[in-house]
Amino acid sequence: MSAVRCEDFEKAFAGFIRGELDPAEKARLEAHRRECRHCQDFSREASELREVLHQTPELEVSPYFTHQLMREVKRMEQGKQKPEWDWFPLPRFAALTTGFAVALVLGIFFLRFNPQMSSTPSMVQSPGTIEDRIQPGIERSAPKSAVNQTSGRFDELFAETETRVDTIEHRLPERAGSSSIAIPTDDDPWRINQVSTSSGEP
Amino acid sequence: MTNPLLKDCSDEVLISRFQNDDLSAFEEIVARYQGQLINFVGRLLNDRITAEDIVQETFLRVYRNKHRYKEIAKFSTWIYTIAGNLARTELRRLKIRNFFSISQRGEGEKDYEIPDGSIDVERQTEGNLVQEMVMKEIAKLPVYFREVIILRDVQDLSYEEISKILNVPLGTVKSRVNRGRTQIQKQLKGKI
Repeated sequence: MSAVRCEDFEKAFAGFIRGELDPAEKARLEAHRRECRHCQDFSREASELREVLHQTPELEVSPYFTHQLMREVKRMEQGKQKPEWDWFPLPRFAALTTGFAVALVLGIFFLRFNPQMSSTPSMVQSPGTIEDRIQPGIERSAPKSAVNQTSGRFDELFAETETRVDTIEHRLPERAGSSSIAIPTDDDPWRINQVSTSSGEP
Repeated sequence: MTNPLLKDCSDEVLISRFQNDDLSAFEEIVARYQGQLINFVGRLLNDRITAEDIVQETFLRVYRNKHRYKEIAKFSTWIYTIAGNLARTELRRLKIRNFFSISQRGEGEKDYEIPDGSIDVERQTEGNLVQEMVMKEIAKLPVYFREVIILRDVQDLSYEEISKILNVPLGTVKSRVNRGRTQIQKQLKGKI
């Protein structure tokens, strides 16, 4: 049988007091306590502490405690009853709706009174203005000439397209009395082969 | 004013009557538990005023959730659990608040301890002085030791009930009680 150490005694002391230990274990602890001054003091102090704790006076309760509580209960009960304006489909998303409305009003206000956002002409002029800021030496007419160039190129393309359409129209056979259809060839999509679909001709 | 006929009723009968909308049964529950709960929460937080607010909230929760109580557990366990949970939430809130107030404090500023106005030490008798010293030591313990010591040694609840209230195993409760007591004893060594 191993000797009981003071630490073991302290750990097992609560069980010892509660009478939860088996007789052999209890006897070992008893034997140790008889011989150990430290554990005798520990047992005595533990008993005194429990005594003090048991005699701890209860904290005073405010005389208004019950009154205040019942008033809260009453208020809660009144809150449960449906208000007269209960038909109004409000409360659940009230905060969200209010926030959205405020944001909308602020947005409109901002767009209406912000000079940069509201004055459209200044936006149209902005490319020139930016160019002026970046390269002050460039003439303002430069963008106009670029537009003229683009416009000329567009006219050329348009004329070419018209010519090709004319060509196609000329090559198309007379529709009257013929049931042939036009199919573009692979090498030149503008040139077409005549395919006769009339039943009597090859 | 509570109904005198309800004085002898068990807690379970009272809550059953309250579930059937007998408000006097609720008043009897309040009269029966307000002292115990304020004592428990007040000792746990070391603040009687806040304890009253928490206990008021506990009763309001009982009122609102009366139909949630089922007679599978003791009523006292249920109400102590509600109060204990609210008290722990408050302790966490205080801990966070203290953390931020300390971190915001300048280096030269001193940490003054606010005196507890509810306890006038000079007017206490010697016995009460010892109790106050013990209570101060309890207040220094970690919460998990403090709550078991209060429930077991001050409130005199059984280990089984404490285990259910705190939702921790019975062995853990016993171990915490023992370690908590040992810690207080060591702190008080030579002082008393």
